[in-house]
Amino acid sequence: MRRWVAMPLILTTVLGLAVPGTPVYAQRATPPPPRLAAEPEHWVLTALPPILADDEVEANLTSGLTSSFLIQLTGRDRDGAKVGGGARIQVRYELWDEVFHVATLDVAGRVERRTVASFAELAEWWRSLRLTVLRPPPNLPPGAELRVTIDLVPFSRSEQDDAQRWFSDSLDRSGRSSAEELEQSADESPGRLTQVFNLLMATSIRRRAATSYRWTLEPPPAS
Amino acid sequence: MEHSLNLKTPLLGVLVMSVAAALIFYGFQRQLTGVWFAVGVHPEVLTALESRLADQRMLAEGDPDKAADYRQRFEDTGTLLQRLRILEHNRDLIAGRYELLLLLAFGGTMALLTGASVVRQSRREARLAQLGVALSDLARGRTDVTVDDHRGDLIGRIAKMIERTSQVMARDRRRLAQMRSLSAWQESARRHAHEMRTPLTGARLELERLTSLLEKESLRHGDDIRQASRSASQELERLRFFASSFTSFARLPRPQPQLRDPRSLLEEFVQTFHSAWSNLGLTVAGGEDVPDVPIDRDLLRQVLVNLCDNSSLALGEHRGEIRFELQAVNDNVAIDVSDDGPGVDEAVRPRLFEPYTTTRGIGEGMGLGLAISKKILLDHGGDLELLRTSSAGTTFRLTLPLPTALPQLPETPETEV
Repeated sequence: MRRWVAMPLILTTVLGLAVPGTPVYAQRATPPPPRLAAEPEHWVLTALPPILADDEVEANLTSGLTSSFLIQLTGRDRDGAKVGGGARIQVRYELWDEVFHVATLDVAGRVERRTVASFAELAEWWRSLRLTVLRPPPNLPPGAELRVTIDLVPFSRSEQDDAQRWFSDSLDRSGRSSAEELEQSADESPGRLTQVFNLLMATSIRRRAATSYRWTLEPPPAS
Repeated sequence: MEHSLNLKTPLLGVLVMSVAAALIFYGFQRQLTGVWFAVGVHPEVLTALESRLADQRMLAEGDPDKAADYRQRFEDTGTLLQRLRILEHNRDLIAGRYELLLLLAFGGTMALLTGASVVRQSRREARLAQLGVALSDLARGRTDVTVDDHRGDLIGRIAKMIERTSQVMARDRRRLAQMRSLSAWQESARRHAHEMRTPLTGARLELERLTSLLEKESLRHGDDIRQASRSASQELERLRFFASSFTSFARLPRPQPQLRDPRSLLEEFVQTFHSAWSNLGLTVAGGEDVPDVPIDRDLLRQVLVNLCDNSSLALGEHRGEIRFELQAVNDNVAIDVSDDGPGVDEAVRPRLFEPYTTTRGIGEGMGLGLAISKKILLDHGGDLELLRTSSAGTTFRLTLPLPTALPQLPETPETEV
């Protein structure tokens, strides 16, 4: 093979191997969309789809970590300007007490908290939710569409920070096999280059969606 | 000189090596990372931790007194389990970041190496270009070539060789010019001697006949005529001496060198001639470890005698010392002949080694001694130089080349008359 052909091939192979893999989400059947209803001052999202029954969602909700459903609505008005709103639902399963602590935060800044005793009750509560997600946009064009996204982020920022610290400490202690060495390493500060490496490694732990759902809705008729 | 930097080969070499090394390294590292992750967040590990959670709760229910302890263990285990789940969730990101960091470190190292290689190569090319210029100058016959490169590596050594070659060429040219000049003087002396000898012989024979006639005849003013005859005879004798000097200069023999220990020769000379000059003391110093050099013993003696003669005459009524000091200098053995006389007249110095250069009065010397000595040393492949002179003394340096350093000089003109 000619050199000028072989070299790019090799380089391409190397680069292809080097680029970290993009996360691939599981392909699943899209559940029915939520409903958007108009109220005097806000639009409200109701009839949230039964995504809690999804195995992956259930596994995340019962992990003991604080899961967040990030609900986003986006669209464009007549001028092409972006309009949007959303809400957040936090669910944390208390492993010892076996209860769910839930909280909702809507676009109006209202926070509601409650404790749910079981997963079935949680699903019931989920179905009954009415979330204020958007102030009615003044000049939506006829036939406009709103994109609705629900992302499930499996842990909170504080849990992320805790995991990053723990991971960084674990990296500092890597290579120490005995308990004595591990104990000793806790008192030693690592070198600057190691610190940078550990920091870069720890910050690769990020809150990203474990699962995402997307729908397109029509604006609700005016109330 | 046209010169272009050739970086293609080293760059291509570094690139190929880097790609090969990166592939191997990356493949192995990726496998290793995958294995450790698989072990760390193995489903069985997570399941075991979940079981431990259940166990702690059961234990707490069975032993309410220690419920707080079990609760604490439960919390710790739960935290660990949650951290592992976060790791598992970010598994591909962590692995990707790790591999990216390794790749960056590897790439950075290779980039540094490549940069260093390019810089090194470009410097080497520049140094080679400098050598090329110096060699061109040398080929054009320049004898003042210098190369500003004194490192100890191969190129530095070649630069030094070029400079040395230039110096040797300069020295050889100078010596060749001196030899040609002296040879021309020798030829001139030969002709003078030849032209003088025939009429001188005739005049001497006529004068002898005249003297013989005067012995037989009793002439008026006979005493005056005999006195005039003796004076004429003395003048003819002086002319014969001059002709003889011309002949000795013209007939200077070519050296028949043999490998000899120069220090032994000097010691022998001092022993033989220690009383030859009443106002001179002779000593030898140094040179215990100088190697043998090719020397014509008789001609070297002639040189030393000439130098001692000059010193002795310069000292006049005063007493002085002559010191012969031996040392190895580069590829030569140097004999420094130092006296503590009044020094060489400044006006004479520029043409000190030319024939007929003398500070003595008319009829007191021909001024051939140093010219003959110079010619003898040049014929040895060496040289005779005035090293330094002042009112405190004078030092001449005789240079005799080592056998391995003898330069290939062109044939000297025939000196036989």
